[in-house]
Amino acid sequence: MDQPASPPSGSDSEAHLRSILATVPDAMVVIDETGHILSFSAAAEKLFGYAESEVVGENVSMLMPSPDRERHDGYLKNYRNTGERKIIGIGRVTTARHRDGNTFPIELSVGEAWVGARRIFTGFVHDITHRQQAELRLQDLQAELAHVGRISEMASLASSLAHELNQPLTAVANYCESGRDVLAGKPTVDAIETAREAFDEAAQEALRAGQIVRRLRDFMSHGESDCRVESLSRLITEANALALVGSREHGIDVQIQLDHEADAVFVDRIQVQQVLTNLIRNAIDAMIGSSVRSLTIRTTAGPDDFVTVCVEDTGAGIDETVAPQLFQPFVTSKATGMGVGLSICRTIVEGHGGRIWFEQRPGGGTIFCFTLPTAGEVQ
Amino acid sequence: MLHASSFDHDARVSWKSVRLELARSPEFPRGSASRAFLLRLPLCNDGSIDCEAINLNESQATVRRFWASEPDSLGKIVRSDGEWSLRFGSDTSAGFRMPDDKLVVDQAISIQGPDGVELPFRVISIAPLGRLPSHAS
Repeated sequence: MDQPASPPSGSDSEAHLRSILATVPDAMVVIDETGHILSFSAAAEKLFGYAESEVVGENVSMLMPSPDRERHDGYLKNYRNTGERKIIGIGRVTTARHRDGNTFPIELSVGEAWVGARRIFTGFVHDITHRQQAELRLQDLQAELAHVGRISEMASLASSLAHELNQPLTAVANYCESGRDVLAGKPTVDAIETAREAFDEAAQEALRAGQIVRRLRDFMSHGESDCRVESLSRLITEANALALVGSREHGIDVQIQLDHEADAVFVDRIQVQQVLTNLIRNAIDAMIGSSVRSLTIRTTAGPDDFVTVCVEDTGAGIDETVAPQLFQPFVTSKATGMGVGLSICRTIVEGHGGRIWFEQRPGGGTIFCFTLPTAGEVQ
Repeated sequence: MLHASSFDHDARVSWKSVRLELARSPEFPRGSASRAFLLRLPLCNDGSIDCEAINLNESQATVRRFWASEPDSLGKIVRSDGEWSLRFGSDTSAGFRMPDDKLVVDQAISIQGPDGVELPFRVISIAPLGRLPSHAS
């Protein structure tokens, strides 16, 4: 094979690669075009719990949880056929699986190289369990603050609204009463005219009241949301990786069951991920005291032009005293936390035209479900 | 907490996470670490599976199957016909059959698939399960 300059001989470059693999702090996994592992760095051995000799020749999908595990061959094939980059040179946050069965969040960057006529991919895997923890907490605090700010704004808005609404409503009542009085007895032509004017005025005032209410609705439904067509499976995989941060020691079984018919949704990605991380972390918190810790995230097509997402835990379930106001702000059963998480979720889901609710899980635990518009139905 | 007290019916039993990986076979001369079962069950000190503890906590004896490029699946460990049956999905008859061997590291275990084919596995690791509810006495 013709190569420029004088390349190191096979064994030299091999030794060179070995020395790099032994020392890089990030886990490095080199695979061939079809996804089979060619080499596995010392840091990767430590991170995933396998020796290099055990994984060389295996499909790299063994290091991933579902749904990436069964899809990875398809990702590679798609890249070979289309050249469309979804991860190479871009990097993303996703989830990996340790030999012990637990999953953990990683940042994955992939590089592509040609060795002679052979194409190889090198994955750099960085465990972000700890880094994400701090970031996630910060992000939470900001979301809570923004929401609390909105709530207190809403409280003052509500009192001025009550005042503003009172005026047109009083006027409507007055006009209607005078119309009724004028028409009492035997109505003359003049009286009918007067009554007509009064009812016209009443109608005007009622419309004004309607405008005030509309203003409130606009205010509440976040004018700033940025909806696009997004892949629900990707939103869920990422949100799940973030939400699992710090939960490794709890040994939670995570299962993701996706309905492929229900993948494209028309949503604000950041907001929906906030809903997902919130629900997943609630689920994890709810299971800490349980002996069975199984988390299932499921998507199903429907109802109608919506997709339903369910987050199911095997935790203690929801206390009946809290249940009726669960989605109200400042209601919480947790020792820490302000109790705005679910209220944020509801604001976001309803802002998308969807619905959020919860059910008791048969056999213990809770299922939170929400709906999102499919991308087929773009307003 | 579900059945918390029954965990401690015998101090010599504890719940473990047992990983079985495909061992050497003609098809896989080196074995395959990407083909594995992860069992979650109660073991006695000698490595035998504690039937009584499983009966008391049926829903907790679970198995996960990891198979190269296939979706992960979660199933139940059920006692049937003097053997153990690893059952996935709603079909209660089709499952993997596991003999009543003791589970100790390096032990060879032969598992029969729903298709009747026996595959050799090996116990790779046995780890205690993360904090199960302890029973204050």
